Amino acid sequence: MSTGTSAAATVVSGVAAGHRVQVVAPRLLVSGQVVLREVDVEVHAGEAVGVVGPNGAGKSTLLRALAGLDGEPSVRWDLDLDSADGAIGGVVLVGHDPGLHPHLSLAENLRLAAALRAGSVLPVATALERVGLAGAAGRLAGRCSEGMLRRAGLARAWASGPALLLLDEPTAGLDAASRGLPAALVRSTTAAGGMVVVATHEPVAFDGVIDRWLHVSGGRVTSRQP
Amino acid sequence: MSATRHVVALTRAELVLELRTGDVLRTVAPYAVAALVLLALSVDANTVVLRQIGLGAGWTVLLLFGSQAASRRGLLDRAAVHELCRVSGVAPRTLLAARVVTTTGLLAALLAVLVPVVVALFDLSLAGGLWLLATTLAALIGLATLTSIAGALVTTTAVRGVVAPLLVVPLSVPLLLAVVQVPPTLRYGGSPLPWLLVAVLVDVTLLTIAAGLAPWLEGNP
Repeated sequence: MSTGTSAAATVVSGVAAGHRVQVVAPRLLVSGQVVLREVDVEVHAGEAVGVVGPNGAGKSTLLRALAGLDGEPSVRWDLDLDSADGAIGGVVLVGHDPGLHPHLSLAENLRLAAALRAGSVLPVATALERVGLAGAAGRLAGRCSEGMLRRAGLARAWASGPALLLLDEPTAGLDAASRGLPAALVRSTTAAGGMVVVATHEPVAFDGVIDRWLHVSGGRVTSRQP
Repeated sequence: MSATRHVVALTRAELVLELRTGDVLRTVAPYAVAALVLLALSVDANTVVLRQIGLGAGWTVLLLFGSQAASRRGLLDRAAVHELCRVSGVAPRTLLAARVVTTTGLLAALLAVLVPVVVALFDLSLAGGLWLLATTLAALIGLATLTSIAGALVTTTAVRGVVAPLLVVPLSVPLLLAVVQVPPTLRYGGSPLPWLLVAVLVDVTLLTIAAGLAPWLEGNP
């Protein structure tokens, strides 16, 4: 089960009101090796941040740190998800593996995710319909193509209405007709006041929806103009 | 009561997986039954002898095959599903509790398969049924807790099937003794309460250990 990235992060409470996530870390590790140094990334409510960089540069590691996973004890993870209207909440990470169990159907997987989060802002059937999977709701995840699993991961995020949405290469494996789905999800999440961070090799797929870009390379995270 | 909701949701999903894959009831249970048949055939056909070893044989088989069943690759053993739970705010203790509840259910199902076989093959009397039931239930919870700790501890799938039973079997001896001592204690007019208390004490100890270890076992898969 191990992913090889190291220990738990420290949650800092008592921050100012309003949605905000910040990771401050002297270093982020994968399998004991330093991948990123002197990380200080902050995202605010309604903001969409893109992350670009070569393979293995540390984009996924940064997303996992923002999700509160796998930080060293020295990592400061500062997350404030106070929600004024109660319509959105929680963190959703859609990674390379969308977190679906192969022996559960797509609908069962999404219902499980909804149950863990005390409900969803969209019915499972509606979320699946939005990504074009209404007809495959009863299909086992293990019988779905990679593109279908990717879309199901997006449906899970859509149903959750997250306050913090983290997408790792969301366009990978999607067909031409589905390539606009991640951008639409980003747009709807930020419109609802949520925060979004997208790691991608295809920044063009997010034209007009990303507010600022971060570049991950050489063990550093630097800001970059759109 | 989000912890209860989380445990219910995860347990329900695990049971759906078991119904679909049959890891315990269709894969492990037939071998456990076969082991009981071989045990019965390998000893004297004398009914008295069979009756004397029946409960112990049944529990030994449950212990060995139950620890094997508990080592199956379940819902929470998939890294992405485990991370989904953590990101969704499921506490490490809740994750381990869900494993214990699920494993208790699966062991109870395995026991339900084995009991009629033991009764038929070993001519076992179920006299003192309530004491036996209570001690068995306590022992099942202890065994499930132990196997859940071992399962979460030994996370490498390639070795967990081997290492988990090696961790579980020695530590479950008090549970085995508690159950098999109930019928003779009743037969000689004694009270089986001390044996029930042994099983409960082991449960409390193991659950306390599980609660203490959960942040480490489930917090950083």
